[in-house]
Amino acid sequence: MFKYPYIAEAQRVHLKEVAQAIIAAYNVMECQVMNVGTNDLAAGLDFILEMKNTANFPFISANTKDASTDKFLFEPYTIVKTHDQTLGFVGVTKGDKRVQEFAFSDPIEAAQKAIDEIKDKVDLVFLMANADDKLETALIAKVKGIDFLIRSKSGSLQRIPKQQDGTTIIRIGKQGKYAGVLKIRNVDDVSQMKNVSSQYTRIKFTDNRLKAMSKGLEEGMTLEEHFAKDENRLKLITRLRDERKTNIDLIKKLKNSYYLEPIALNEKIEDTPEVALIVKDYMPKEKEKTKKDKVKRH
Amino acid sequence: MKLLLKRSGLMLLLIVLVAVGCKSETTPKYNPNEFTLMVAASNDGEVGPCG
Repeated sequence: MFKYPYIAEAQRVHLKEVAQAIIAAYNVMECQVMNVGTNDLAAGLDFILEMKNTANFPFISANTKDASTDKFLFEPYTIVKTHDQTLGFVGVTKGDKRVQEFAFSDPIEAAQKAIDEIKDKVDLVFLMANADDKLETALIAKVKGIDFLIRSKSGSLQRIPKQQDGTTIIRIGKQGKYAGVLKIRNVDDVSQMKNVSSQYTRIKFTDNRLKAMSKGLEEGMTLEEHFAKDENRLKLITRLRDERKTNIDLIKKLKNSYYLEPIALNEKIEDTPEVALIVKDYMPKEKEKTKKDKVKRH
Repeated sequence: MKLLLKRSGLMLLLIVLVAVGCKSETTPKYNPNEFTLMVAASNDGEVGPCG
């Protein structure tokens, strides 16, 4: 919720309001889980516990402790159920001495302990790691049973996720520049997870082409009927439908597969009104500052 | 699915996930063994995820 593991005293009130806005927005978005990163602890113990109570979703961390009691502060994992899958999410963070009210146990041991607790109860294990490159490497090498490692604090977006020792590593960048849509098909627990991004990209392409051709189509009429007299269009429609089917069949043939679609959260993305209202309510100073900056520039 | 938040000046260092079942585009049924997660990681001021 904060940029650094410390907060300048002059900004404390404002930054805490911003953090409250973030949690309020995540509540609206119906988030399912948040891994508490080290910087999230910057405003202190009482504040993070207040935020945890405000949130409608669990805060998790398998290795964050209250330094004064040496007790763990959050649940180490959470389990999320979809219509037919049970997913386990474990959280760890690297830690930092500057967040003095907190202590951190070894993230590798903590992750392994949490995974061992849930591995028989879930179909897939996701390790959410607030980690640098060194810790990421160590987690992959030493922790057994991670299906997906989802990392924050990563320098840049990795469009084609790396796979290592049975773990798929998702690095979605930083600074909220991207959201990642991760589609997963998980049929059994023995087949390797295969990246089917290129197949999904082609399916999306064929769908878009077919959709574009469907514009103005009379209700109940097929594309083939509409273009019955246009041989070239008919050939194109057949080719697109065949290509779509080939790619879908290929994905279905693979038992376990995934597809990561990074979405750039730029100005083209429309704000959801409920979230935009939360942001507006909590960001008056930012807005005033921007206005002043604009006036100065003129 | 629709993205819910864009650049907002918010500050965070976390990952957030939303897990949803994956519905077929052509039928309202859930596809067996499939699901979609929305993931985001951020640390200085922009955004979050979707639902």
